[in-house]
Amino acid sequence: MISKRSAPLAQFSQLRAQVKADALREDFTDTAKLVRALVMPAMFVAYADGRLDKAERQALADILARDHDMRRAALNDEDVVTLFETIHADVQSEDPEELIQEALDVLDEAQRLRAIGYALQVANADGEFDTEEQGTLVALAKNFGVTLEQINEMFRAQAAPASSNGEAV
Amino acid sequence: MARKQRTSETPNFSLYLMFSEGLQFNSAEIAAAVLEDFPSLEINDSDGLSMPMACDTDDTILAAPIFMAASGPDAAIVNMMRLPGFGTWDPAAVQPRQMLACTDIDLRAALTRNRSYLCISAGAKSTSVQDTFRAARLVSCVGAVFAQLPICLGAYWETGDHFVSPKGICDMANSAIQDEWPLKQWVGLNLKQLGADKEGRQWSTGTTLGLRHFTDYEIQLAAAPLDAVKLCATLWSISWLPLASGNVLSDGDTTGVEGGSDAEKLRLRWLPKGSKPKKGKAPPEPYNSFIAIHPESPFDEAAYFGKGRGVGKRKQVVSTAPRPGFFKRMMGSGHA
Repeated sequence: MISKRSAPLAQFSQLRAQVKADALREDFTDTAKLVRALVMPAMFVAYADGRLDKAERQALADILARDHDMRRAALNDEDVVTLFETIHADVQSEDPEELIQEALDVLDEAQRLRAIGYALQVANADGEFDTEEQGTLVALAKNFGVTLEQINEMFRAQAAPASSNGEAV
Repeated sequence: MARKQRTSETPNFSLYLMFSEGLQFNSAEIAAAVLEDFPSLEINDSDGLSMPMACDTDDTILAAPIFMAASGPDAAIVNMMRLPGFGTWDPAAVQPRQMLACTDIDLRAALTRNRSYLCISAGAKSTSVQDTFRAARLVSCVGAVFAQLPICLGAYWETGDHFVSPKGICDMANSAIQDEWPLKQWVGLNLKQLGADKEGRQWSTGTTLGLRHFTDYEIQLAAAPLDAVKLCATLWSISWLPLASGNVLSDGDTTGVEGGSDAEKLRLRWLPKGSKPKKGKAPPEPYNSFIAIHPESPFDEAAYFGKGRGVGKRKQVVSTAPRPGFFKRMMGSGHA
């Protein structure tokens, strides 16, 4: 039934602005989840030796600056700091299996490969690919469905100086 | 009976948007929103000739055209209107077939909440498939701008005589903007289930509603041993042939599942408007149509076509082989 109402009518412009803002927020949330999932393995590897050194921090910053999904997220400095702090805290306090599962739920096959590639990049950042980092990377790769051959291929592509025989693991 | 060239008038497409409350807007902001949301529409509306109008869907009469002086292949005058006596539907009178494109919402509850409406309407520039598609697409895109609002309850697509949910309105605009046919929203279906035979097979019959606004004919399916789901799929897939695939259907053509045996193929017979069986008391056909006849159908071809007019014969060559991507190529695939 059509009826007259005495209350003020809805305004198209206001409702549209609200819809746009909701969509933007939802998109930002989705992208932030994706960025978090992409960075998660790299953060695990970085903390494998118990500390996040300057080179690793710089490698993570480079990844954030280059990755197209991360650029799409248009994270400002404050967002980046918040993201780092959140993952930093989670990696140290949360159940690793739950965090890995959270990342797996978000990433598709290609993104999982990309995430392991970033982890490899961070592992090589300080020029030392130590045993803890290798072990963490291999375990993560297994969870992410990435083979040793794929890791070695990425390692060669990144032309890291960590190994003299050109093999990552 | 040979098919004649299409002679009907250019079709008009209307979408009746239902709102849970009245809505105020300016016609210019709607035009701007359409071009913002669907930038690939080829509409040049920058000549400054548009007449912004303050609109209120609770006004007794509303008539606000947009894109009046716009140019470009997709440009057409879109009327946003409401008139007394329209825009209400009795939830109890809604037929199940009218809810086929609206299964993601509780339509009857939505109709109960309907407090205001707006009709979006546009006419095609010609009867060509491309022009009718463009007109239906433009109406869909304007409708989608409103359908995103939380007060939109759904809409009635007039030529399909059925309802579409808010998400369905957005989906049909998003499909059409990619030069794809949102058949489920643009073409309604009238289905009748006839029950099961001794072997337990469900029998159904049905017809498209609104296909004629794009092609000048409807598709009927004579009683066939198909359940409702297969019946819908069959009618939509035959409709897809002339629209998306560009096939010119002819009397006597057969069509069926690729790789299926000839014995399972449906035979198409042309029934011009006004045809009626030579015996019996069936009313004359209200529209041009093709009737698809299943090999097991009891449809009495001889009653309509007489003996010796190809009754029961099946062409060896299937002339309705699909051509995927045909329509997109015709449209230049300029939309994304």
